[in-house]
Amino acid sequence: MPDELTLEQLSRYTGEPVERLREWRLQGLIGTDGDRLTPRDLDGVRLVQLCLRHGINLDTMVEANRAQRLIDRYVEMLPGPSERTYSLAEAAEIAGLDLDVARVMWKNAGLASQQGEEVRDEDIDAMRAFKTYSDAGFPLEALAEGSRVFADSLSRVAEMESKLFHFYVHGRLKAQGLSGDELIRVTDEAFEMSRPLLEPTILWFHRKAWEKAIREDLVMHMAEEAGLLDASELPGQLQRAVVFIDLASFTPMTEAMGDIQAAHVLDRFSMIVREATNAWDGRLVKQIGDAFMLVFPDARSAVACALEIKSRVAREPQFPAVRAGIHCGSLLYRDGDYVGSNVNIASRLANEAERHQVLVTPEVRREARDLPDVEFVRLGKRKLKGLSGSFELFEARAEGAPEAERAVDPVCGTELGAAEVAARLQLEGAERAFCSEECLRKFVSSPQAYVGADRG
Amino acid sequence: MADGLTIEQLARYTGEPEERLRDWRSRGIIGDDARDDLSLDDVERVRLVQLFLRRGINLEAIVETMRSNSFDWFYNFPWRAPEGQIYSLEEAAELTGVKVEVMQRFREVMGSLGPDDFVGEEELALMRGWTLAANFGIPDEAQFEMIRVYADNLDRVGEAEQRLFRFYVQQRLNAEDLPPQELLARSQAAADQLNPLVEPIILYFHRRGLQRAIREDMVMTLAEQQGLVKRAATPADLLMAVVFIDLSSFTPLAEAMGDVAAAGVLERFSQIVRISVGAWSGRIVKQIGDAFMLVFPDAQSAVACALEIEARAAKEPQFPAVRAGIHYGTVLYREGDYVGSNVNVASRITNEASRHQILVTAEVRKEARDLQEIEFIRLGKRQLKGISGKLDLFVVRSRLAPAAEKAVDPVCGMELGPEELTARLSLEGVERAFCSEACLRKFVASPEAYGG
Repeated sequence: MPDELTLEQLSRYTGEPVERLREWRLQGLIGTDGDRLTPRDLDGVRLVQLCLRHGINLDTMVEANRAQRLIDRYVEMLPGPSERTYSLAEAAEIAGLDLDVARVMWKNAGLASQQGEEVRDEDIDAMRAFKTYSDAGFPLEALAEGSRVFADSLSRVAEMESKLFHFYVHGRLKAQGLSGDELIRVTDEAFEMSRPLLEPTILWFHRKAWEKAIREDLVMHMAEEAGLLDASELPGQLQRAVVFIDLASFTPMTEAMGDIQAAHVLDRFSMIVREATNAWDGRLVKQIGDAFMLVFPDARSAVACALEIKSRVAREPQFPAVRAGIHCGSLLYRDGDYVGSNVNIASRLANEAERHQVLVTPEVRREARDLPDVEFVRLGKRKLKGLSGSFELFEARAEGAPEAERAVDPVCGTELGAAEVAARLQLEGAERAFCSEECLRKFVSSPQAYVGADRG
Repeated sequence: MADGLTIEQLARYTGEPEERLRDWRSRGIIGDDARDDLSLDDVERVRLVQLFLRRGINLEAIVETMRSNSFDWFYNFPWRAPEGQIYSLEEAAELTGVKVEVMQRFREVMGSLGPDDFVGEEELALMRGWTLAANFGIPDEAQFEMIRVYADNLDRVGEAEQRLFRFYVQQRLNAEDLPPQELLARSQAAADQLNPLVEPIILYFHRRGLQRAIREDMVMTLAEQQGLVKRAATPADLLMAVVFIDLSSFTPLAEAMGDVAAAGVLERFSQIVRISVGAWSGRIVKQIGDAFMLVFPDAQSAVACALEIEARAAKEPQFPAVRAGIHYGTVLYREGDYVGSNVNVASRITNEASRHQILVTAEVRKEARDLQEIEFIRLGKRQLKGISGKLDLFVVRSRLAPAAEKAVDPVCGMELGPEELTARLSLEGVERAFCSEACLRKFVASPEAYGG
């Protein structure tokens, strides 16, 4: 038997004046489930508030709810109907959790901005779990960190599920000419069918990921015992090699080819990076546009992986060049990410690299110098932006892999083999190659925009 | 009851020569004294040994650890159920109706070790459900996208669980100097207590995430109905405001203060960003060192949120300055990320911004000009790196909040209010402020490195 809410309670939880709630009720936006108001109506009020904040007016909502029960249906779609609601302090007490810890979890999970201080039964279950972690010795900052990683990652998963459903299921049905009640019915059916599959899928991926993390942990443990690694002194500190690798001319390429074409190039690049990273026991920490940040347990695998990515990309037809920077040392693991000066150095190094260059620091060279078939060419000392002092840099190269001469399209930056050139232009003594007539046209209409400019 | 495996099968699944497997068996690395045949557990063991060898741990050390039973910890996870059959990808494809290419992607993104193109019962069940995606007409490309988003994000979750367990449980126990058996028992007990909680927490956060995504979806639908947003031409095309916001001197700060203190600053910044983004119904797409990429359904919320973050950060004691760039236009939603020219523009504008500056494009100004108490100051046309043509840029300022005068530490770039100064130095007619003696010492040791 769900709790009944009074208008006053609803007003207190949501911050809307009682007057306004009464009006919304008359307009059929909330309280459509008979005479009573329930926790469901809290969801309803929050939806209306959200829409208003985004400039959608009440008339549109009233109309959409009358014609398609839009708001009611969305409220029904929200998972986990709750029997009653609690304040944060009540909930923390029931779960036996310290109020400060509860508040941190609440904020980090992004719930404070979504539902204020109104806690549901399922939230209390989660708080109980946090209580167990707290008892097991996890300090507040570890719980905060854990809740941020869980909330961010799973919110990204849910966003993907909902967006792809919107684009490919709802969107396709609409494109097939369905509309009105029929569209609603079929969309709802599809949603009901897919929903039971979401959670098992998540758990499967989680198990695989957990196994992988445990394997890594075991290796770290063994490596420490075998004296290959120093045990870290601070929580979160790890010895790792960091790689930043990106496409040397992705921004001009996106501009020249358009977003969709560029996204295809990125998909291919992403697949190559992932395969190589997994093969060398690395981790893809994040993707930043066309750049990937990778972390490896040792400098050798980092160098080998970067060279593998480079040579695989060089074999792709019509593809921009890659460049990379590698550094190793102690890093801090924070919130599913790796931070620290050593990360900054690797990132600056990648910015320093030219097309096809893999730049490394002396630390990397020392650790990786016995890699077979790899040579390190000394480049001398360089200043790096934002970092004091200068750094001795080396370029890592695969021995015995002479690079085929390739022309570079000055507009989109794509590398072109002899067979891939669509046009060649001789102008003022220089010869240029183009991947397509479109790039040629762009060039001819304003050559000065593509000459000598910094094509980062 | 698990099906037995022959040594030939094991060789096929793991890519190790039979000879070597026999050797490992005689050393007690694989196999079980109680039975003649091998099991699926041995596939797992072989992969682990392969991994150890790749990392330079030698066979003797592995045998030694095996003897001390350290591996049990790995095998005792509640969800490890090595029962049942295994199938080749072709067999599995036939049984479930999922394409071999799609299945291949599952294996690739999960980083399966070695040439093991086979699936277990667990995978088979997953694949059966996955056929629904194809039946809905979700194209292969989008299915690959789904696989990658699931894999990347849950990878991050799995990593966090393991790392936090190691840092806060394992290392604490290690510090107690317990005898090995006792240590193992204690950490096993902690794991037994905590592991069953993980899956419910994951599902809980997922439900919360879904709730939010469904809300946003509804707003999108209504905004289209009211004509506020143009319907996108291609799937995955969205009209969004993109914000990049970062700390203007984080790299020198990390160098001067050390990683741990810098991580503390980052955590405060992250807290401020999260709270403001939540309040303006935006999304944190990602964090890149000290930079955050945010998206908002409209330019007004983006501008208001950036101003709020800047104002909150400016009120923090001993904190570097914030700067931001905002652009509005169509972006492509890809793999939990937003990409496209318009994203690049926002990122490049941020690089143009100076301390405390929020730079926006003409598109943002047009959409957000009705915002109260805010002014847009024209900066003129600028050429941005990697982008052809010039962009008209504007600085956004709140009319309400005059920025307090703060001194900037030349070493770490921290902003300092009058009470936060540790030292003032007059050198060759220029006065400088420092947050700490450490920064002062660094400056004095080589003034020229810090613009002295």
